[in-house]
Amino acid sequence: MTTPAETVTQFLALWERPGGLDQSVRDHFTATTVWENVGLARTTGIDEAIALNHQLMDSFGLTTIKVDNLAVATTGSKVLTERIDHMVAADGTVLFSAPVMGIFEIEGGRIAAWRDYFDSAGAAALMAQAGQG
Amino acid sequence: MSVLADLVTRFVTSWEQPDSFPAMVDAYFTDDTVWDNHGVITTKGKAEAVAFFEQFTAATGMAAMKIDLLAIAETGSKVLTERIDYILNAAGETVMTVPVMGIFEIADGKITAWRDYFDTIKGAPPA
Repeated sequence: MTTPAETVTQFLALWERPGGLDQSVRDHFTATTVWENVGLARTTGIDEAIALNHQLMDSFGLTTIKVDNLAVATTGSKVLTERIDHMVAADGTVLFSAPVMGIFEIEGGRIAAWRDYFDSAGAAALMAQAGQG
Repeated sequence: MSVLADLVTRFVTSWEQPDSFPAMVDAYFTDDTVWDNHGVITTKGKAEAVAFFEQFTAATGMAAMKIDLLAIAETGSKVLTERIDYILNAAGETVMTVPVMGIFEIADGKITAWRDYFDTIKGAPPA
């Protein structure tokens, strides 16, 4: 049986593959999964999550995300992570890297809730810059 | 609860008495402890940590805090938390609500590194 931590690491590993961001959501979310980028955006379900992914991909010109898992710890059905998410363009260039902590709540092998916490002011500034470029 | 998670729980809940923060830093930090409020400020050692805390206290008018420890988990020498930190004024009113995740690295009973991640648009201390 897949442990909550394994579900999370499988989910994050998919982001490295072309098309993996969409697939990760389809494979691991449910119709009611709440994904929150705390302070910036909140989605419910699969379609909204994929739409947000595409918005981020278009804003930054990223196609995949390489995740360094600095720490993964489990308590009950919750998995807490510290990561560095490297945003990668189609040509393999790392556009920028975001240090982040995230918590995933697992139910029935699926991600029921996911909250990422990060420097939202820094991220918003990068997004504004990308929008101008 | 394990020794490490217990240490972090005691440290975090001690903030409900902000006057005790300097003593807790003295007890649990080392001269090299790096405390990173990610995107806002990074301090090194005890004196810088206490100085930032006092600056934050003055800027927010903080008289007390309330800490909701939503989740705590550990891996190796690291303890990861999800919390809601409420900053209260002297009248007991909440002046700031900060949802946050923080990671604490422990060695020999001391906090050697502590990184808090939060919404820096809403959660930054007033200038």
